[in-house]
Amino acid sequence: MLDVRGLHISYGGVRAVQGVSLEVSTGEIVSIIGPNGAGKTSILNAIAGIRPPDRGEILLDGRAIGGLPAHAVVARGVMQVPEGRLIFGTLSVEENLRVGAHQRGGFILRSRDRSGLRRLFPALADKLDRPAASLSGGEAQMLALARGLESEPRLLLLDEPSLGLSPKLTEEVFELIRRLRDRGLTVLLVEQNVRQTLALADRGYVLESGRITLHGAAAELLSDERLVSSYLGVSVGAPSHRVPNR
Amino acid sequence: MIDFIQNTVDGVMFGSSYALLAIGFTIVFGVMRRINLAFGASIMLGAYVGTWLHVHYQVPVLVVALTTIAGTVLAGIYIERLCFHAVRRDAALASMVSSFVIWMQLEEASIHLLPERTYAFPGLFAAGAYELGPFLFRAEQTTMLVVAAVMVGVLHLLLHRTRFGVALRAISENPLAAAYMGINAAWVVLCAFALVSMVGGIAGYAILATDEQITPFFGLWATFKGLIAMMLGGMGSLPGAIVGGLLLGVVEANALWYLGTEYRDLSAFLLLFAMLVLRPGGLMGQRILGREELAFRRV
Ligand SMILES: Nc1ncnc2c1ncn2[C@@H]1O[C@H](COP(=O)(O)OP(=O)(O)OP(=O)(O)O)[C@@H](O)[C@H]1O
Ligand SMILES: [Mg+2]
Repeated sequence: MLDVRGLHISYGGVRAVQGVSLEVSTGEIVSIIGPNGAGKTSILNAIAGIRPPDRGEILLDGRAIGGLPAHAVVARGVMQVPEGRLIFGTLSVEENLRVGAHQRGGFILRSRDRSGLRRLFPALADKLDRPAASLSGGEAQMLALARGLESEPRLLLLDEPSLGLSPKLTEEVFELIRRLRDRGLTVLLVEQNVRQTLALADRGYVLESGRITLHGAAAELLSDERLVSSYLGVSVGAPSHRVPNR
Repeated sequence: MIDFIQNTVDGVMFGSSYALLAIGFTIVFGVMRRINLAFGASIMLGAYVGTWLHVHYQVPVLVVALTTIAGTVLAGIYIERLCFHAVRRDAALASMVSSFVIWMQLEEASIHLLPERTYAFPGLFAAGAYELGPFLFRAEQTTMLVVAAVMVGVLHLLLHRTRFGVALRAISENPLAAAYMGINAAWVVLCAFALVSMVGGIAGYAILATDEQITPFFGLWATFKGLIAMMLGGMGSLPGAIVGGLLLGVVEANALWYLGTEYRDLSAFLLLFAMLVLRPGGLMGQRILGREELAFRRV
């Protein structure tokens, strides 16, 4: 479904992503894992049209979408749930969902059947009229996910959905992603939470300083000695160049 | 006491037009974090085109009203394209300076249309007044209050019950998040400019019809009144714009009555000065300022 080739991204001369290629097939959960500053968000932002890449191709179902503005990418069925949630605190929970559904529906907002929401996000369904700023961190992440799903995407880009969540809430979020995949959604998941992410994903890419250093089936990566030593801190003798530079 | 109440009633009525002008500034500020200095001049251009048609071709009053509104909307779109769309988002100062330049340009265009002097401006119906107990109400001013109330109601519905309105509020809070959601901000902002220009055009027509005349100072006047009313209420706040406009109207009306004509504008500046010292965020601006800081921390 998604095919990224030779992506280069820089910020005012500072190279953040250097020749990244990756693929996501329909129905898969693919994860990108890597330390802070590796360039994970930059890759997602390039795909979503938030910031065009310097070089490289981004193909969605074989058609180039690289360089298209974000609203055109959303129109093609790609939705990003941004890092740090970025929910609209001054809008109500319901209005946040409306913003997610911005590209669907008519000019006048009509009342919506929220039974689907109640099934996936029971905690939100009772708080539709509350200002989103009043939600807890876990609820806010759920709202960010629910809001993204409102666009009925085919491909969901998730940027560190477990950021700042307790292990229990993280487990809930990951369970939700699994349920979404089972309903046919394709997911590109960016995470730092290596073990849980690889347990969930079908395939994974390891990103370090803007380059893919390792990729393969998630189960294989999970048993990979090098990865485990550098990220899970199991081995004492981790090579120094693998220590996150920030 | 009766005088004071009468003044307050007059002030509320006239202040409702300030409220509409302030809404024009506040919506643009809310969504762009910029001040559109050319707003008053865009209304003036619309009104001048209407007056010009009336002077030269004796078009019906309704045409003058519609031309004023349409002319303001076109000028508003012109301003958006030139000062706000073309100029990069983070170049706040550049777009403010360029909107100042467009202000001059639009005034120049108006004065070319009709040489510099005062012209009669036609109202939709003959001026009149009616009495209720000890109080006197002018028909045009009452109309203005009704028009303003209707406009505020329509705007409220638009901002809360339509896709466009919710998108506009989303952009106002966090443009980056709005971009992630697939909102085409350029388009929404252009529509917002057209919308506030329509509000401005309607307010402008109502004000001029009440005054029964138009002078080359109208652009400056409208920009001043709208800006002061917005600052009083709190920048970016819609309820603030309404409260600020009414407050300005009431203070001016009382100053006019108790102190004399020359104190009308002076009282407005004094009021603004007092507000900036005592409550710099304006009456309802505190929350908005807090949100602004929040947005900076996030991005
Ligand atoms: N807007 C920006 N301006 C300048 N440099 C940036 C910008 N955004 C990211 N960078 C730099 O690009 C590199 C990659 O950043 P990116 O946000 O993509 O990393 P990340 O893997 O998402 O990190 P994190 O886990 O902290 O979210 C970093 O070195 C960062 O400092
Ligand atoms: Mg990131």
